[in-house]
Amino acid sequence: MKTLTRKDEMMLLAVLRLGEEAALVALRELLNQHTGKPWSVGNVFVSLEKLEKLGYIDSSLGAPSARRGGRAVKFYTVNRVGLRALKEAREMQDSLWEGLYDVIFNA
Amino acid sequence: MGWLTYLFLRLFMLPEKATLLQADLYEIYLSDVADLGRWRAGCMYYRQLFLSLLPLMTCSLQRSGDMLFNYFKLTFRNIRRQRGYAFINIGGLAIGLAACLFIMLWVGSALRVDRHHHDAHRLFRLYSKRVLTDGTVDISPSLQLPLGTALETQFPQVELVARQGHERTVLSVENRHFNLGGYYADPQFLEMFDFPLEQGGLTTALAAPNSIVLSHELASRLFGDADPMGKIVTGGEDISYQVTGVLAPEMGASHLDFDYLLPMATRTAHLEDWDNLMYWIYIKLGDGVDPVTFQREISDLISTRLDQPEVTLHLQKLTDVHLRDLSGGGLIETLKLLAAIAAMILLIAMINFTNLSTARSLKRAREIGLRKTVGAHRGALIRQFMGESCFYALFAFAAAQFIVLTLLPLFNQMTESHLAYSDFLRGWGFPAALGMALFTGLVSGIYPALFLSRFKIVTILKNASRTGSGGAAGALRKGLVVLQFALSIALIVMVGIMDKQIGFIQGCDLGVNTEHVLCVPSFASDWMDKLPLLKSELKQNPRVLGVTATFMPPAMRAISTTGCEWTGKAPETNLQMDVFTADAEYADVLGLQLTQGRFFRPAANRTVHDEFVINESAARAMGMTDAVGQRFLWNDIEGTIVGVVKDFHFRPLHFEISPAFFTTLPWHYMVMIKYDGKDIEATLASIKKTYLSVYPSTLFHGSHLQDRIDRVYRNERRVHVLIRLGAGLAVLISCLGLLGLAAFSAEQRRKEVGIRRVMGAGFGRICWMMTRSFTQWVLAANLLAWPAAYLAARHWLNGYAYRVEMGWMLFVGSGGVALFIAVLTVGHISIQAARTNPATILRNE
Repeated sequence: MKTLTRKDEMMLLAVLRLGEEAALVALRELLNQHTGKPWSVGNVFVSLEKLEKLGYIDSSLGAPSARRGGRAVKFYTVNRVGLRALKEAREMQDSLWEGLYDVIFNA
Repeated sequence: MGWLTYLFLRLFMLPEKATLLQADLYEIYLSDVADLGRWRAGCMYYRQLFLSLLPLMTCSLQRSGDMLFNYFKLTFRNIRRQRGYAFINIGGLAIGLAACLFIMLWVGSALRVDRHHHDAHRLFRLYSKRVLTDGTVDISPSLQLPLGTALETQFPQVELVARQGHERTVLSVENRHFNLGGYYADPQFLEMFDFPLEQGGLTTALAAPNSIVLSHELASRLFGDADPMGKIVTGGEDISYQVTGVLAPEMGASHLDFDYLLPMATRTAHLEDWDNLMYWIYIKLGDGVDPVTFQREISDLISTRLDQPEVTLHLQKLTDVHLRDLSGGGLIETLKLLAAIAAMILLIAMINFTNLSTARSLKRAREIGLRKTVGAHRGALIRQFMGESCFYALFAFAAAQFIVLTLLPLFNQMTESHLAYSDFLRGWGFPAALGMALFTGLVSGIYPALFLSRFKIVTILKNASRTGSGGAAGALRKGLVVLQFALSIALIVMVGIMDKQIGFIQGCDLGVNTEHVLCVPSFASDWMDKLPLLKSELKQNPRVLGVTATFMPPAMRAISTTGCEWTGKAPETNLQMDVFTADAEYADVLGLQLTQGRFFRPAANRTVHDEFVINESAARAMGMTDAVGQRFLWNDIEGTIVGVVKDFHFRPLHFEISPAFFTTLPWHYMVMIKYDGKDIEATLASIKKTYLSVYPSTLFHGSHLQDRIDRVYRNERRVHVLIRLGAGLAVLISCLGLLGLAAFSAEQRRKEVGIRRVMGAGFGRICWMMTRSFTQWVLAANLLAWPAAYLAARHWLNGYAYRVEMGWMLFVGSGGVALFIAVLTVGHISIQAARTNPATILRNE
């Protein structure tokens, strides 16, 4: 399995964090808040598409609503493959960080 | 709004996904409307769309990598299969793009002037506007020195003031002499403008009197590799300057052009003098100061101080100094004209592309039919054709780069400029040009893409030969060819009129005889004393016809004054007059004609300067019919008018002849030597030898008056060359397109021609049949081109006070030229078609 990129990792965490509410607009807001820089809609969309294609997340369509111009909303959830990828990414990171925490934070 | 977004998104993704994303965008928009209001939310919406462009594009390119390669392969195969057509198409576009690149380089280099100074947007040059009683307005950047001090002390909005005064002198180091131009400048000059110092302190370099700052180039000319700091340089009037600073070699393009800087503090005589208008004043406004309000505040600064209510003070942006003349017009007009020409050429190239592609569609009808049969949907075909035309554009772009690189030296030589390809690679030049190429590809590909992909399979397979011609596509093609030729003809007309005007300027009787007049400026301190000696020595040579001393030769800018009084002058009149200093031989040397009275009499060591000679315009302006003998007062010099000279052009022909007078005051700065023009080289050598024998310690810098005048019109010449090139290219590209269309039509009508010949049509008839429609198009183009060209030419000519008549012949002639070239292009193909043996064509039916 390929290692997750930083962006993929952030995206997966954001989806997990939002749980039931994980749709594009809410995800974008969360990412804007946490990273402190504006994410473009296209950027978020393309990342989600990619993760879905790689099989890390599943999606389901919600009910159409007026505030979306009568269109349905797409919700995302992280599936088992995605969770495993996150776990592996974290483990790899931890092994690299091992013993360096003091060096970095108390420099 | 919604469907537009949807269409935009459909370029990158499948319908379901586009719907989804559009809904997301809409949701954000709605919540923005609640927070920010409709207008701002709308802006944010389009901002989002724009920002999403890049990720969406990269994603879809990644996804369709194989597809792209496939398009590339197809394009390449098509090029190989139809070499001639591909050559015309790519070649035309490449030439068009190259022309645009050249013009972009030229315009870019002009626009970069003075942009490199830090905070350039806060820098301004001051100028005064004086409304004279006869309604004329005199605008000038030359101001008094103490005005700068007043601005500095009275207005807290002003952050910096730097004053600058032009100076020309001879600098000497160890008996080597250099004729140079420099400025007197305040110490703040170096702070305000980004002319970085290589050596010396920013604030100290110009602080002490008798210090001098040299340009890098001058320092190495004067001192070679030795360290120039602290060395002594001798100025024209035996003043010693100590080098206190050297500028860095990279000065950046600026309207400020100097070899050295001297401290303003040495101009003690002028520091408090409100009557001496010789200095340019630059100011830097504080951060956030509104220039418009500030200008209103300082507007009456001069008028209240000097009690001259007709004078107002204004600001000009520093970045505009190079581009706009204070009296209107200027380089910016030229740049606009050139940009328009670039756009026209590009448009012509785009039209070619569209026309040839639609015409050629016949060739590809079967390919399209087959693609559709095996399941290609219309979107895929559109993408394929758009991709193909983008590839064509990219090929053309590469070819254009090659053309520019190869021809740049030649271009520089022809337009007397110094452009470098590296300027283009810096900043936005390259991406902008690439964008332009891709845009061309997309725009010119869009019609063929939509048109070709619309073919119905049944129609194609049933009757392939009908699809490419006639109908809407045919009408569009005709319209585009007409437009193309209209543009070309308009350009030819413009070139013709410019040719005429420039010829007029060169051949114009200036009223002065400028041939074989040598101007020798001088700066030696004993120059005036030895002038009589020089004159008599020079006249030993029989080839020398006359020698005169003066301040400035004609056809250049003159110095002007408003301090004139005369008998019968109304008290409220203030007439602006140009001043010339002259001696007795001036009129003879320049061949001026006197209409009344006489010119100055020869006199050795004249001490009283009570004689004036005026020109006809001055006599008219002063309302004198019989000017000779009238009293005339200039500042504190009183005298009488002894003669009136016929009007002559002493300024460039852009300006009307203004009132002027001559005085005998010895403010001379150069001698003008008239010789008979036989055996020029020997005469010049002898003049130089004589001059140096009289002034052994100076330099001889002779230049011909005619050359000096030609230099004034250098800009006109450069633009003229550019426009000629542009027009030539426009015609060439149009003809390439026409050639392609003619070849195509000949091919399509091969059988028709064959049958007509069998039925007995003659050679001439066939040729006429083939050329007729093209001739009609070009004739129709004339009707479009003439009014447009007339308006453009009138606008251009309005910049000249003395101009030529346009004349209808020029218009008809240009149309004729275009028609001739078009017929020549098409004729070749028609003759070929008419000559073919019908048997070879019809054999296979």
